[in-house]
Amino acid sequence: MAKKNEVKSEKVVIRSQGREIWRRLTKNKGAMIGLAIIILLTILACTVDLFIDYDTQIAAIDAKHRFVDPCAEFPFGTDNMGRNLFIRVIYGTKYSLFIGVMGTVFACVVGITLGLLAGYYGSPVDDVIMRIIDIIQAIPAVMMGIVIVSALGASMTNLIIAIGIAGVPYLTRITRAAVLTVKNQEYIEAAKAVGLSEAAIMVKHILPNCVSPILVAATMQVAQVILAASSLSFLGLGVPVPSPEWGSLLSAGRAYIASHAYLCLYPGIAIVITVLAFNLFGDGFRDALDPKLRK
Amino acid sequence: METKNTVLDIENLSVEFHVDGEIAKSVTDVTIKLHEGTTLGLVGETGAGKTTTALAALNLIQCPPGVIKADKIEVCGNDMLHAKQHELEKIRGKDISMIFQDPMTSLNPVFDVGTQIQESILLHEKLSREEAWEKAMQMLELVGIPRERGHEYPHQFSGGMKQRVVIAISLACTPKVLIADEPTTALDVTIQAQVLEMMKELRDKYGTAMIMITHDLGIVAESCDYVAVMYAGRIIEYGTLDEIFNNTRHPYTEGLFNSLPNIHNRVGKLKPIPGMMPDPRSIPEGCAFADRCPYATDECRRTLPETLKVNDDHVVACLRYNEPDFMIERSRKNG
Amino acid sequence: MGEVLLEVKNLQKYFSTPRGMLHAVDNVSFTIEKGKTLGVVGESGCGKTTCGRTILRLTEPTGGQVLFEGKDVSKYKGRELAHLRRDMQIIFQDPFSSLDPRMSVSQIIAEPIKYNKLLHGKEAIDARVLELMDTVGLSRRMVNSYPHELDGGRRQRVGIARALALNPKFIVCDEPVSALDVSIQAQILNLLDELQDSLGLTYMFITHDLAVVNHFADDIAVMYLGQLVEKAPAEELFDNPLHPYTKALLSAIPVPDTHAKNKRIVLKGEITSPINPGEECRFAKRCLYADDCCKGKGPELVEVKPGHFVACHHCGIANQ
Repeated sequence: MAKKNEVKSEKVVIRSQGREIWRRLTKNKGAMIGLAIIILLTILACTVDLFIDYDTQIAAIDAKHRFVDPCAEFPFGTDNMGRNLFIRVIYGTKYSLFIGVMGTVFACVVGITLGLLAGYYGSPVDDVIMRIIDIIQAIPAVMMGIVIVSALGASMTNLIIAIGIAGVPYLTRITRAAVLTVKNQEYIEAAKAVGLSEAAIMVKHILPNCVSPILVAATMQVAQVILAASSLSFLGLGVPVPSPEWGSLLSAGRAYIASHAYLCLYPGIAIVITVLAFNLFGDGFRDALDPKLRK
Repeated sequence: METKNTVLDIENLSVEFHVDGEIAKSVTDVTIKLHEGTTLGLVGETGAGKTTTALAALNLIQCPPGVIKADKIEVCGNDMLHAKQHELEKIRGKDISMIFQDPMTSLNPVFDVGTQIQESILLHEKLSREEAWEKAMQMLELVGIPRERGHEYPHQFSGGMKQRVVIAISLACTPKVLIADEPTTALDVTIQAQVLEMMKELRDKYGTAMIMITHDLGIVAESCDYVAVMYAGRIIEYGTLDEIFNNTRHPYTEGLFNSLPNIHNRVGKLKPIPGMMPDPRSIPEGCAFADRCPYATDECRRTLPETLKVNDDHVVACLRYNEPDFMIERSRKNG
Repeated sequence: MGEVLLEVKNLQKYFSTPRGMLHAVDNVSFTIEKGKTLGVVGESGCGKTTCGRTILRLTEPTGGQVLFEGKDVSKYKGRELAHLRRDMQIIFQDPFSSLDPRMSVSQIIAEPIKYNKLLHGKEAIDARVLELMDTVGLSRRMVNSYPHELDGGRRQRVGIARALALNPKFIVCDEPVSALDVSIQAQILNLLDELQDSLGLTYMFITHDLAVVNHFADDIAVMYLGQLVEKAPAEELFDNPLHPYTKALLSAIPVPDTHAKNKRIVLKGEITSPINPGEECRFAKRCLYADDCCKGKGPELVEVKPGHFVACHHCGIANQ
């Protein structure tokens, strides 16, 4: 054989996949910036209680300093009750990041699982799942949230479930569509032929090949969830009122947007930075997972 | 060669693609002359530049990333290189037409096949819709489909039937030149036989000149008058069918013959060409085939072979023929 | 007569479609001896691929039996099925879609080994992967490459290495070369040939190209619309084809020889629909010799010479 001439006793190192993906991820500047911001926000969220006192700095009302424009003492200004917006935004990380991430994780776990099952098994599993999804989608998200939270009681977990469910149909549809294009590829059959179980095929072959659209959808979902949480908070069904969750800061500031725009600006910027970080990381992660883009 | 009208004249055609700062030389210095009523077989492996050559003849290459250089590309005396867009549109379909490999994707699924043939006639000929429809139906019958099926849609036809429809569309305006890019690769053998037979009949009837792009030397043997063998963007051997098949000169052409399973010879083991074609982004400076060639010398790796004349009907681009006694194995056997 | 490795008895596979039952494989029976190659030839839609996949249990048969080493594997489940998968493997037609684009060459080849727990420890598995790459003639430096970085021939070698990873006894080759260029085609055919000699493999070689199996197969079975129409030792089939369809198929192959006087039989007529086909001979509508007898009950597969089976009213026993 001619090709055998190529085969010499070369020293070759077989690279592991995890390390390979990490290597490609670290080369992507955007992804690393995104990851740095996410880590920073996470550390902030975990430690705010150490340097911010809830009772005196968050909940206390200061009538003397209402609507102070941003200055050295109050970098982001103060709100209608004289509370320091800078501290509130920082403290809000704790709620918003947690709700945003967990709400998305919940939507992803449920949505991807349903989408995989529906796409892989087809009718009748598909029919049942997709009809349920249709029903969920037919109910307005806020109404669904109200129903769930009132039924289960107002708590952080129930809020996350309520918001997460609203994102499930989107992720299910995206996943299902991606699975449908992948499942008829011959490598799925090849995996079956070497003896992989259906669960292993779904996790090892189908899911990795569907990951691009799912990741994009998931990173968009983070923003959706943070904003959805604010509307529930607004209705008194989310995080209890004095707690400075970003969404509720935004909706509280909305009343004064004409005169004191900064009340909306800074919480808005916080949301934008968070979403941007997740988008950057999500895009980079997607590219790192795709061997076609490696150089 | 008889003195017939030259309908397609390509001189020193080179096509490059500039992508991501790299230059892929897809076609280099290709010269093709095609006379009325003759069929040229363009043979080569995937990536040899066959399809690119054909697309360049129709001036259908996307520029950028493509860059076309040529001394001349003429179809029935029309300069394709400098023609304006609306002139090109008139020439394509009327003087030169192309059939693509996959009949499944070349037809529009939302129109019935009769309409699709009618449209292409209306585009190039001054006929009323009724006259054009009548002509479309004649074309359908010509390719062996009953006219009653003119109102049916592509999905109601089998693969072979669809390819017939595609051929009917291409021939509707009786072009002088027809380029068929692997017209039967997607079809079954028995259907392929039908389609080839029909194309031969049509060629004889209308005197259409054809370029048959294929990798199947069997099809070439059956339907072509001339053969051009392409390798890494260049024509490395060119001549009449008889010359190429029975007086093979180039080692690559020989390699192609040796790799073919032959139904009349069961015992002989296949002798594949070792290795693979060079990447068009890094074609070696000498003969591109040298690395795979059993006859290659160091000289071959350094110097680009010029085209040598074997006789009036046959040219070959191989350096070794500068040596007086050199002969490849196949020719020794045949000679 | 050698030892029979695989015996297929009256294999059936029907698919239900909106317009009725599609008879993809209908009462197909054959045997393959150990170390031999059966070429299965037919045109697209004749059920040859479905036949191969049904034998491997990649799709469940509608009826019939598949005896592998004497045991009926068509009812295997769970662990038994997993063991069967080690003995029977498949090489796919399309080297582009049969490899997971997200996995590197080493991962693709290692997957069956890891999943079936044939070897333990990274070192042992890596060593085996490299050994397999040598076997199929893949350069070791491609071990970290991804499928899209390889050309068709190399991809097909990866597919072969994956199939060999489990030390199978029987491999279904489903058009393994039809997507490749001629010069690469010959390389792969030779490789498969060498592997058969060195590893004692048994092949079922599915193809639409009679010229390819000619070099390769010991026996050839010709399928038409789900049914076996002729089966004979390769030499016999090429020299003395009996079924009108086999004759047409043979004559349709373009021969790369300017001296060949090829009397081509061009088939006319409509192809019978495989959906709810009637009793009659399925080839009758295109057959040059069809008469009223053919519109009645379809012909049975009859042994006309030792080892030569034909299903045709006109060239069966009546001919003798």
